[in-house]
Amino acid sequence: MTDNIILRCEGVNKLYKQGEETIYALRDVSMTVRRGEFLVLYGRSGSGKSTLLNVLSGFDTPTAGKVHIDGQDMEGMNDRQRAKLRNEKIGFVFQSYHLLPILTARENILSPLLIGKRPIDEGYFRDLCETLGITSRLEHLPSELSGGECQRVAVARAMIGRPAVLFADEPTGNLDKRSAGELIRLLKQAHEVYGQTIVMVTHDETLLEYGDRVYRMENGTPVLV
Amino acid sequence: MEKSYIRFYALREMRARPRTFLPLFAIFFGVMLLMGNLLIYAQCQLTSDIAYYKVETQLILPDLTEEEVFLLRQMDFVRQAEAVETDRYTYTCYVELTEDVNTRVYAISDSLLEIIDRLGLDDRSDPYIHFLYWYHDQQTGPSEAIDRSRLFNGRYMNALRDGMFQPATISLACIAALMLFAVVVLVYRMKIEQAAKEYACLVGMGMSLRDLGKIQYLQGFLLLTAAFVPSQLLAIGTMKIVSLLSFRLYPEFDGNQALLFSVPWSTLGILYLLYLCAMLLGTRLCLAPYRTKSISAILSGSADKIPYVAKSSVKFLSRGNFDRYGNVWKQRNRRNVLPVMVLFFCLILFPAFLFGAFLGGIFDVRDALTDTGSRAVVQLHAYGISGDGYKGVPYTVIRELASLPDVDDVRFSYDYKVKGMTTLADQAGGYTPVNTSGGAVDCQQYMVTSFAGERPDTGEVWVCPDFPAEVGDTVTLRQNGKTVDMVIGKKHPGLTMRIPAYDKTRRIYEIAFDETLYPALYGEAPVMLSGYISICSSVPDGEIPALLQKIAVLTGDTKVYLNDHDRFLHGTIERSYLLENSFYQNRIGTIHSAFLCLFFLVQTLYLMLCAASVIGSTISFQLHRRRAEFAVLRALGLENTAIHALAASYTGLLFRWVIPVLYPVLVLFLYFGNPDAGIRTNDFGEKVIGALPTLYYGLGAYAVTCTVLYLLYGGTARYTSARSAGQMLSVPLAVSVKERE
Repeated sequence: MTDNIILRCEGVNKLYKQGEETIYALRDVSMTVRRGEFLVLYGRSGSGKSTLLNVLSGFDTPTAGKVHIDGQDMEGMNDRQRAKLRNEKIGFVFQSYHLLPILTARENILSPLLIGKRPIDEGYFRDLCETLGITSRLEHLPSELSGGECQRVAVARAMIGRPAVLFADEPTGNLDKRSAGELIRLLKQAHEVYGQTIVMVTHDETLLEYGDRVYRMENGTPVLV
Repeated sequence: MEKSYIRFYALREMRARPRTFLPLFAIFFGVMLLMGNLLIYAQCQLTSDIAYYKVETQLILPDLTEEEVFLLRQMDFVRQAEAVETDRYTYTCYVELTEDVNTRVYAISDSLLEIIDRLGLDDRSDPYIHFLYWYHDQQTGPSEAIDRSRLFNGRYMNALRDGMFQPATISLACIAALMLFAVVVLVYRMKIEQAAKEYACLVGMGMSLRDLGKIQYLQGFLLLTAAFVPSQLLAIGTMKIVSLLSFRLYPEFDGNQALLFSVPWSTLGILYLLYLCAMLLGTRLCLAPYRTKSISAILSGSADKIPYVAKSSVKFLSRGNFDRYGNVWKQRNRRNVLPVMVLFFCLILFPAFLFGAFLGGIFDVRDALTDTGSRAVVQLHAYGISGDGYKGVPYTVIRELASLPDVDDVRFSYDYKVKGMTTLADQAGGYTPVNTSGGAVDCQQYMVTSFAGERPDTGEVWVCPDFPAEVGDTVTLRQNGKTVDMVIGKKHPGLTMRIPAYDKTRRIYEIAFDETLYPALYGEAPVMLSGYISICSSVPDGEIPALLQKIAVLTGDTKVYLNDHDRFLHGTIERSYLLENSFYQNRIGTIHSAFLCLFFLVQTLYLMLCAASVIGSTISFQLHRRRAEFAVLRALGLENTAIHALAASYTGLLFRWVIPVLYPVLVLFLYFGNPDAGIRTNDFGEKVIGALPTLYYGLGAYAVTCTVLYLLYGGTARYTSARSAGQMLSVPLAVSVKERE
């Protein structure tokens, strides 16, 4: 059972100081994510869900506590080791896409492999693009794509390296209802077809049904729903 | 796709963001052109001087013993060494080097260094230093009677020193690197702030900070190389053209070009390496703040500094009027004052300062080409007042020279130095060379030289610090049976004591005294003045020979010697002085400096245009960074004219801070840095009087340059602001608002 755990955090706290005031974004968070699981973090704005996602993905460091991804403790890693971990084990989908504006969709998708100097699996790349419906848009710059297309490119970029965990921070936040529905179905499809572990943050209650497990964030603490 | 993602991304970014990289390129180009040219100038000035005086290559090595002359002749790079006895124990040696050494300037310097080293001449360097200082500031040219050999020696001592240390080159290179470093830090910081989210995204995908730094460094390297090569080629080409032009214009100088030029490859190499180091450090420094920030903070924008909004918000909102948004802009502009000042200083004001400083070059060129304002200066060299007699130019003759109709002015030196020599054996025998009760210094050897413009008072002597008597003591000098008592007025550090190599028991003390000593020692004989006597005249070029003839008749000179070598070896030393026509050398010196001034003037004008393009690009870049903000303001109902006003407010920096504040500071710097005036002068009166021309000049240059700056830079700034605002307003509002993300 222990081998099946892909992500584990223990006693994670995150504090912010604003002048004299201390804000507890995360309070003693301990949780695990199993391999192949679709986990949804749900909560109101300011409840700490995005902060938790950033800490779990290594984009931010906890004030206290430990985070293990695929058996590797992120604490004490140097810049190079952290970069390697992010490149190989983590994929991230942002709410506002954050595609690199000077690169085409194809170049954006392949960036993680090129950064990590890993070989490109052309078959997987084609399948992924077909699945996400962006094959015809690969040579376009982000500025020439719609919001939904941008987010699908971002999903493809996050998945191209077959990461251990795919983190998605409000991936549908900038999309209309139809595009949002399409995207979440694609994510679910990727989860089922490729066995991708996904940790998704959302405030949209209609998306909760897609999660294998759902946590609700309350004042910096996740509560299993 | 490229194999190396770092290279791929760096190139793609440069191609995709011309608005960001074009100003960078222009800045680098400008800085390197300017500072590179100054370096080239420093280097080629040295090379030019040395190459010029390599004519009739000879080294003159005075004060050698017979044994040393023998050793000298054994050296492999010495083809011939002709020794002339100058004293009972010393020889002056005229050295011809072998041909392979003789053709290369630095090889000759090295040979001289080796000679000094092998013969151990370091401890008796005073003759060399003497030559060095005596001739250091003399302008020389290829006229027939130039004392080349002595100059040659002095110049080679210069070359030797500069070749070893090259302080001008090193300091200029450091200034250039510092300027580049400042520009890199300022501009790259701006660039990295702009692309911070993209870089955070790259890091999020697994790129290490080290690799991110490599992207920045690679871009810097490409920009540097792209700027360095054409700018230096341009500089070298211009220099070469000026050199050729000067040769074509003045062929009468028979192969002696007004400006010799050779490409200083080693200096360029050092400069390039220094720039690379500055670039590396600059990019590292710019990325350093991001090492402590988390990716999420950068992506969310919470890492951005926006204090100006917080500061201005109260004032802004309290008015309840969106027109007050201009307050925010004013605060933003104030935030930009420091970096903009540094940027403008590096690239704009410095060239502007040079522009002002070299305006005079135009007039120099005109004078040099039209021969108006040039003066003929004939120099009379009176050599050798020796212990066997006295020689020089009688003072009465100098008065007659001054009364010649074509002569405007006669200048000469009053200062003398004498070497009193004695032996320890004499002291042991009870003979006291110097004492306070009528003892004497046996003056066996005299040496006359100019002495830094100072001279002792009548009846007073200055002695070297090692002299065995104190200030206030009396020294008795004896010559031809006559004695003169003189009081020691000062122990002057410029005078030295040395022990001759041929007789270690002797001490030679240098003593300086005034011209009254001579009549006192030599009785009724007229006062003889020795050293340089300059006769200035405004006669036209063609009448110089006639003037020379008149002077020759007055002084009784029947022969003009080409140099010391001729004088010693072939001349009969009936009269120990030398006539020299300095007219050509002065003229060629003027032409030389005029061409350089012109060169700098052209370069500076080019730089000012370059700077104007940078101003335009920078303003355009800054305004386009805020285009989404403008779009929101438009959406909120702000009129187009207000957008224009906000855009134009950026240019206010130029007019309110940079030109009125920084330029006067630069002019003051010029005033205080002037060696002939300002704080570096010791005498207070000279400080005030000497400062006036500089101040007048500074004010004039300030007025002219400010006008140019306002027209060129102010016009560029206003044009760019209006154009950028117009472009932004021409985009449909819906598209502008979408660009916000």
